[in-house]
Amino acid sequence: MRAALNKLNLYWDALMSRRYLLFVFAGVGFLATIVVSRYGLIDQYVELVAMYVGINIILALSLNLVNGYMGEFSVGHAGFMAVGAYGASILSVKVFPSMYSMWCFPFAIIAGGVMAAAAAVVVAVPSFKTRGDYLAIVTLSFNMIVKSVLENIDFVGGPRGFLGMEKLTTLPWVFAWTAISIWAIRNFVYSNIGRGVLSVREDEMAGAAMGVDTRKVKLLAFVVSSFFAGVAGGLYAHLLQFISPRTFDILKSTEILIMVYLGGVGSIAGSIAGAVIYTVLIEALRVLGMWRMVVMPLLLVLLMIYRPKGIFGYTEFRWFKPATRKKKVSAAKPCFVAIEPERTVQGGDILVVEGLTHYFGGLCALSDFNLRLSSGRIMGIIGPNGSGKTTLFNLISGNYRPTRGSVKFDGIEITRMPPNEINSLGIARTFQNIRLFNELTVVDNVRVGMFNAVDYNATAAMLRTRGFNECEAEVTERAYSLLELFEIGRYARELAKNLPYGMRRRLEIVRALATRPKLLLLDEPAAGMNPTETGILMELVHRLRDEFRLTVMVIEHHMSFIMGLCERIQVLDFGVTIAAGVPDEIKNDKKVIEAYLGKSGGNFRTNTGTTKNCRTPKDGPTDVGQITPEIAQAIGRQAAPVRLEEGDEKYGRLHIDTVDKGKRLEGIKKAGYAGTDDFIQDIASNYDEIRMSEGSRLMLIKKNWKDKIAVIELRPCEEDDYYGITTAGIFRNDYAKNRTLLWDRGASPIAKPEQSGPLPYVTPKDAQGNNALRTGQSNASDNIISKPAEPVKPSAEAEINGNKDVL
Amino acid sequence: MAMEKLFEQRHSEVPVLLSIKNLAVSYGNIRAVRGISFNVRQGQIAALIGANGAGKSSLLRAVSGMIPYEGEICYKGINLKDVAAHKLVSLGITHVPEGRGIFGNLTVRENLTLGTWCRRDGLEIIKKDYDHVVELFPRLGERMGQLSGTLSGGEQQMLAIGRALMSRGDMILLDEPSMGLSPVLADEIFGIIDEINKHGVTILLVEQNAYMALQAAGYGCVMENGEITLDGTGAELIENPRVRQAYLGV
Amino acid sequence: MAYISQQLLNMLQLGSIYAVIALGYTMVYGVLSLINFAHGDIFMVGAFLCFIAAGKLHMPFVPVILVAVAGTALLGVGVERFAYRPLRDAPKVSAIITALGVGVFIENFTLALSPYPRHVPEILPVVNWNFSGLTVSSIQVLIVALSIGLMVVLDFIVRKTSYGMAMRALSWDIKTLPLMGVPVNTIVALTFAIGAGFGGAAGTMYAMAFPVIDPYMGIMIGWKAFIAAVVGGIGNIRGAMLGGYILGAVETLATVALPSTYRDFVAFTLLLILLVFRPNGILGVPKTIKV
Repeated sequence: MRAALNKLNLYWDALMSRRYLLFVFAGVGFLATIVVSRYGLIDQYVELVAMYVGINIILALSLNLVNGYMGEFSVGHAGFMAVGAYGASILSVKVFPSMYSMWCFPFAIIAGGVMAAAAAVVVAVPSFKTRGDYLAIVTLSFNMIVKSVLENIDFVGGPRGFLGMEKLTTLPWVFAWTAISIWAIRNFVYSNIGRGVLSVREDEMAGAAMGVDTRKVKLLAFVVSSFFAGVAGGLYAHLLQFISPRTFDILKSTEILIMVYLGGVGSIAGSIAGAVIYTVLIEALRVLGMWRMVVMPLLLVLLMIYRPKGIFGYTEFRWFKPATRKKKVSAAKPCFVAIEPERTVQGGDILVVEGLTHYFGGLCALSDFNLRLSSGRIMGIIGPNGSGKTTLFNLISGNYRPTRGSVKFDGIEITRMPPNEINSLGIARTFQNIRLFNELTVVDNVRVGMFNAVDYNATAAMLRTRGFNECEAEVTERAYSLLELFEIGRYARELAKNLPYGMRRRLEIVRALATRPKLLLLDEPAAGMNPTETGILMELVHRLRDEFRLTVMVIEHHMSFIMGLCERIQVLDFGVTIAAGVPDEIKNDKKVIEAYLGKSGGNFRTNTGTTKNCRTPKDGPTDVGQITPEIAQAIGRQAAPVRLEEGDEKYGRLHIDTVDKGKRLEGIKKAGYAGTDDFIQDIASNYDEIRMSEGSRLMLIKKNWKDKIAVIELRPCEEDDYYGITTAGIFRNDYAKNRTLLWDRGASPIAKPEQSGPLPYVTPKDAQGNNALRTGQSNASDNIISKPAEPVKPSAEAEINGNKDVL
Repeated sequence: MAMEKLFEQRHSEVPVLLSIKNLAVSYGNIRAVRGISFNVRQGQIAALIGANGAGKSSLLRAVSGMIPYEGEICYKGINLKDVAAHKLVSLGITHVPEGRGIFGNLTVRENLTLGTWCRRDGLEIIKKDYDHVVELFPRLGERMGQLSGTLSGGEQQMLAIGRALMSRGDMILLDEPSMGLSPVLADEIFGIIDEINKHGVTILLVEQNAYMALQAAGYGCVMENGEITLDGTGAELIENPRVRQAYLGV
Repeated sequence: MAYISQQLLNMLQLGSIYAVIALGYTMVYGVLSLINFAHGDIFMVGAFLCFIAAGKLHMPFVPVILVAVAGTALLGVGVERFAYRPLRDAPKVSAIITALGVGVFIENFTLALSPYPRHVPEILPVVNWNFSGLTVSSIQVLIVALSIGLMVVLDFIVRKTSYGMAMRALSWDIKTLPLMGVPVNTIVALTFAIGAGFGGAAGTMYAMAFPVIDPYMGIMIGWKAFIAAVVGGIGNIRGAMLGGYILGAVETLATVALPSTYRDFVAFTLLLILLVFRPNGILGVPKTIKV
């Protein structure tokens, strides 16, 4: 038994690999239909059903192109069918002379298809922006509108319908048109444009990043799809010899949908199977009478539950798939669009970013990013989670439009270009969460990358011109060689989703490479990799730079990977660049270590906050030096904060609403640090105003858990009612006891001497002794100003010289 | 290995609340967790640290029944495989998922109320819990009627923890509590975790921020590529040079 | 003047029916992101149940409504349990095709049982009031009152009860909800019960206003009400009401001003235009995709 099965398998294999047999069968079939219909060899009813099957195949195929291959949800396909039916009928009945009707028939059909294709534009345009449910509504409305419009045109009979077509549709015609449709759509799908369509389904964003012009692709898919729907409509009209608007209502669209999903989305064989099964079943179940339309949907529901993708979902009959054997490439006419010769001089600046800033609502994700990247460098971007690294990439690659700033690539301003255009200029990227085209094979993933490089158009693809064949062979060969170059050739025919993790990352890089970039952006390429894999990746990146003359920018968390790989590194934290330089500098940069690695130590570290319009401090980030145990003790003994006084001409002003303790701070827009506002409230509850001179800083020190102390810096901003949290640092200290303390550092003057009550001012130096009084201007860089134990309420103080002094 | 035994010996008298044996999780042909075993004892803060993609989140998701797994997970002696995901809360396990899992279209108060879904005690006691949460997180108290989707990252994390507290469970699973938060804020969160633990709640947390997690943890495990490679007390692990090298960048 | 007022009443009546159907759609879509294409047919079943209860069993008014609503609610829960739940993790289109299949099944099942259109007898004695040329029928008043009442009830359920809160949470994040201890399947079933029940209520209202019913009536009406729900802002209760009334107004106006064949054309085109200007519906809020 097994031997017999094996033999059968072999025969089947041999059969399947002979694609030309398909043409043989088609030819034989065509001849057969001529003979059959000429001599009436089969029952008329069977012949009718066969013709219905053919028309339904065309319908299912055409809808599958949009719904299955492109992953959209178009629900009103009968509308296109109607346009084609009416169009063809008008021509054959009212325009073409009746004695030539048989010769004019194909033209009428084609004309109907063209009209339907034109109507498709109406539906395609909304599809650029919307998907899924909304597109369903648009297409549904289109269907209804077409029906309504037709009901109101008396020229075509209005609701009564249109009569008068001759029965021009014969079995041979149906066979021929069906064969043509299968051939054309299959060719469309297995071509460059078809891969573009699939990329829209799989991951539109990734497709655009690989250079696919998604608008063009969507338009083409809709147009081709409706053309064939129109053709089917024309055939249908000339079979029934009567059409009315009711023929093409939502029920018809539903039928077509059922055929597509029953047979299987994304599969030519699926559409054929779905159409055949549905049509035949409907006829076969006629014996059930009324109950057949009850049984039919029940079967459909059961099928959906147990095989949600349909019978042939995403799989394909082997004869329809193109040969995977690479044919010899004739060097006669290269079809690849030539890459522009390098404009950048080796060593010139390939990427110039200036002042790039991006806000999500009120939150600043990236602040004033600057970069000059020389060609041929490997640059690293590091920073903790949420520091803006991926935002940076998204801005460069065109996925976001920045709030401010500019990006220049190779001298061209690319700031507001769409992603596919940016890709065609020479920037390619990978994604943090790996966005491969999962249901496509590895080699197809790479071939999508070559979308822009290919010269032929959709018509050439559908007709399988010689130019197409040569070009496609070249594309395939290049894709394979690229895969082999990076040692994933053996997975070439494997579906991308089945690849092991490391290979998926690698495939994403190879795919990006296929777009022939000059600059490659890698977003966390080493995520989840063990040390061995990381090492291999490092080598790979070096190869990219050396062999492909690429400039590479890498985002990573993996410190050793970045340090070992990159020539220059820029460090982001909360959207702001806190360090830039060579790895050795960065490695030992205090701020970077403490900011990024979450380590706490004796010194403060600074990271700047995320407030709108705040100027960065004049002299760079703050480092206020070590807080020794003595200082800490002194801090611990201090009580709640104190306000400063004016003295200078220029002031940055912070108003804090102090009316009710516990009330939300008004007039202050928070930077979103939840716990910090508590202290500010503590301060605010006692004071009307805190004034700081321009360029000065105000520090808050707060006790955190496990006896740590957090230091928060405030600074004034351009706009009156913003403050910025600019410095936050944690360090361990066992001596702090009290909660808040105000510490001003900078040029601001401190309280005047004539204050009520003793005011112990403590400086770090003073802390060695006891509290010492200090008055007058502070010019030391470490001043601690504190307040007596009882906070003095503003209302209790008399106004002195019109100022609300509380000191 | 030896460390683990030592740890076990030292703490063997404290009852085991959660026991994991030979847990394996796969996504397609990616093996996220490859046969790990460890115990979390009552009253502990146990921390799982490791790089991105090491399998930590998968472990927590397996415990709370969100994904299929092989192996055995027992809570208070009950095999969790037989328990439906939504029954875990009534058993005493609350999971604060990665990214907080806040329902952005509900108000702060409603999110907290959602945490009480499985509770059967009276309204009075529940009201006391609201007050307790507000005491712990005054910021939340001011925003009870605000849509939680508009809260900042830190406030959302506080809300997530507050909500977990509202279910009065014995054990809270925390997935990356410090993610996306500034160091100051993350530190505060850990302070709160510490305080909650002092009230008797056992905590199993998963973190990329090794330093903070190990500071808080009584028991820590290091995960690499789906396996536990080191374990011990938090203090021991912080000092362990291998840990420091891999995760603290020293 | 009286003519305009009469048409206004017609608008209100029609709009109320559409609004209640739209509410049913919006409930299910808002919570599960599923377009229940069988909803229009459930509406039709409601009308037929009304027919059976009133016409064949001669029940009085209140039990008739209860039968219709309870019957459709049960139908909705059953459909969810057997046709939609297995597909919860499958690609969305599969669920939608299944919904289409369920709809066709219900249509034809009803057709097989009752091939001819049916006439629903008076469930409630009709009283007509005259105000200087304007005739107000008690049916109209009842329908409008019922629809507003249903909206108020639904609003209350969704915003003030714990189950409503669970439904809202489910619409935000179905994967996290079990972590709160909430049994997702129960909430989903409840959602469907309410959604389908509303369909049944609308069916009853329709049967009272337009006593001739047939098995295919749910198709067009269902689709139109769905579009109305989207125009108003899908997932939004007030939006559904608004959309329903807009549709009712547009259709009535179109019938008045234009020959009847233009009615659907105008309705659909206007709705499409509205969607172009407000892609998320009039009261809709774009769902923030969690990044």
